[in-house]
Amino acid sequence: MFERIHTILIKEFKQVFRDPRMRSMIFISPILQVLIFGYAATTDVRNIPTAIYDLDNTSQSREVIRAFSFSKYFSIKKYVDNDKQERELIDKSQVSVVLRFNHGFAQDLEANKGAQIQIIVDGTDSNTAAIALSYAGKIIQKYSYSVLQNRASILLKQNMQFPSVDLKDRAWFNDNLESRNYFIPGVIAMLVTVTSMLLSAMAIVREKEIGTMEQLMVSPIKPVELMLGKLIPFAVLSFIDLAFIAALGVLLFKIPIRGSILLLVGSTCIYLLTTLGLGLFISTISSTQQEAAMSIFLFLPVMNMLSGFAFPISSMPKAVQYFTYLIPLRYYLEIVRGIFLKGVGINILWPQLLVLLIIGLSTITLSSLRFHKRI
Amino acid sequence: MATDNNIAVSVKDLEKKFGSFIAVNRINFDVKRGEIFGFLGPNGAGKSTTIKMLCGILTPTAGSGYVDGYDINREQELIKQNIGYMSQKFSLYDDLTVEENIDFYSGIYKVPPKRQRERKEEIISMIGIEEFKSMFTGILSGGLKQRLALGCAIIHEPKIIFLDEPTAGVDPIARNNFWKLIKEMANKGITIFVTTHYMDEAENCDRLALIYQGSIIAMDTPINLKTQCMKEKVLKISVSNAEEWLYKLDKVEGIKESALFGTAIHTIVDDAVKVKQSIKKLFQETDIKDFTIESIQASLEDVFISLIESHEKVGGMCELK
Repeated sequence: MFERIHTILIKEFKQVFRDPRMRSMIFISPILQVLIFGYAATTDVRNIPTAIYDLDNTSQSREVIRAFSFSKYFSIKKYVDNDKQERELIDKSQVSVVLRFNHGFAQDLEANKGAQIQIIVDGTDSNTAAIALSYAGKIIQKYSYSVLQNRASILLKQNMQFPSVDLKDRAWFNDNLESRNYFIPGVIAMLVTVTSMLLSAMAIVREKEIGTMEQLMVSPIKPVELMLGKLIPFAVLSFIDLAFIAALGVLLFKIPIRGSILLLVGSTCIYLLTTLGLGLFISTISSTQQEAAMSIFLFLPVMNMLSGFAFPISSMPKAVQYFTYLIPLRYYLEIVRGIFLKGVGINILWPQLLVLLIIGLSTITLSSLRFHKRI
Repeated sequence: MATDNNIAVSVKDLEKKFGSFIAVNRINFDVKRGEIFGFLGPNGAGKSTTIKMLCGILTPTAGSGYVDGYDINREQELIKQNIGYMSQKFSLYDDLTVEENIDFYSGIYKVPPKRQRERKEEIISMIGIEEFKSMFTGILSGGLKQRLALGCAIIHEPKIIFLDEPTAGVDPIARNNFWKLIKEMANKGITIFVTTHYMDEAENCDRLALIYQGSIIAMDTPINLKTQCMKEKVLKISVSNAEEWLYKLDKVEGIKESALFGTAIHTIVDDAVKVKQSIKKLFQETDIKDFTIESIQASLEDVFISLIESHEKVGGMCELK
């Protein structure tokens, strides 16, 4: 049994490393993804381009503007003085926020009336808009408080302190709230999924396409030997990708690995049962590589989006949240992030591991039964 | 049946249905050891289905069969170990070298490690591929690929080889070389079971079974098929503008079937003398002097066409006199 598996393994590895597209899939793709998620694809909101539309032009309005320009979240790009300019800047996406003071802002303040500032945000990117609004709210609140304090001090002719509640925030596991810390472990999960599922399915279907599958069926090779010979290489390549991304993430972006590497390897083995099983299943329903790729791209994006890779599951509608329990990638992501960032161990992650093990064993069993029947 | 040592393949009432479609309709035949046995028929006649049942990758719906003494219904695994198989797809890996392909099949068939190297040299020299042995298979010509595929199929020295349309898409010279190899192997006592739809190629077989719509409609040596299996006679008519005349001749009484063979027309007739007269008369009436009409021996294709016709009319197998 092992001689034949050995023969297939040698052949598979030769083929993988000779095929330039395979090579780039395995080595270039992780580098690109880590770089992109490390540098470019960030959900952190900083330096929001802002325009000032100040019709009041008083020391009070300028004070508010100063507060905005000192904050790291807003970066003042332009001053405008009419509605047309304001509109144009937002249309051309040159700014995402406009801060507008109407004539009489300072007057209202002095008259102890509610003074108003208008903030206009570009709602196209709802996420950034919401974050900008909340930052702006904080700045205005702080200004408003200081105005109140000043007024009281003047009235009472002494320096006056009001009671106040301050929120001291501290983010565990990711002190600076860097989104790359969240994404790069996710990239590992994504690439392990794609490598093991897509490439294994393609490699099996390729044999059908070029006719060697028929030849192998006529040979005394047993289905289980063929199956293991075709799947093991992609399990190995998945681990190469895992090590590669982890090394890049740690060395280049200082992503912490706080948990056990052994647990990471072990849970990846369990997760591979599912993805290789799915790859095997797809190979049994496709007769060309094109068909295989089409079937995979039918559910890979769904799996990706509902897994919590980019969008938090807790913000999804309840029905969809229940559905995500069916998505194996969800559990693997929780495990990978748990190990990398939280440093938690099997005592915490066992429920996810158990679910993955159950899904994995059933997938690989059903797929190999189907593979045996089809072959 | 399975005990007869001179019989390599034996099939009795073998049937394969796909739903209500009968792909192979209760066929019977025996193949002797060392024989080149040809399965001749058009595409979709049931050739590949039969070969797949014999190779143990398709289960018959009825009937029995033995390959090298092993039951095709129960001992598929033993059959697979003892036969070689090659299809028209030349199942090779283009991104492996010639030697790597041989090594791969060597491993799959579990050729003993000590024997592997020796066997590889034998194969390489037999198929004449020495100078290409470290090249990628993808750049080889069709003929070389074909011989390499054969080499890989016989790496484990099987006594019976199944060839499914082995010469499809290969040029005539390569085809010729390939048949030389096949004959050499048959001379060494290896049984060859080959399917083809090339009539000229079928002449290389020791015995032929003509298969049509799942049934064997004739089975004999090529020479017997040509001389005895056909009641009708064949006339070869050489005339200029043969294509035009092909249709006009259809109206002549007594002509059952006409077809173009190169620049000449072959017609199948019952009464050669009478039809010859009618055609001559027709040519003379239209003032054509430059023509010849001769009775010739039927080619396999003539036999095949005529047999299909009579099979469709009455059914059954060609009865030899």
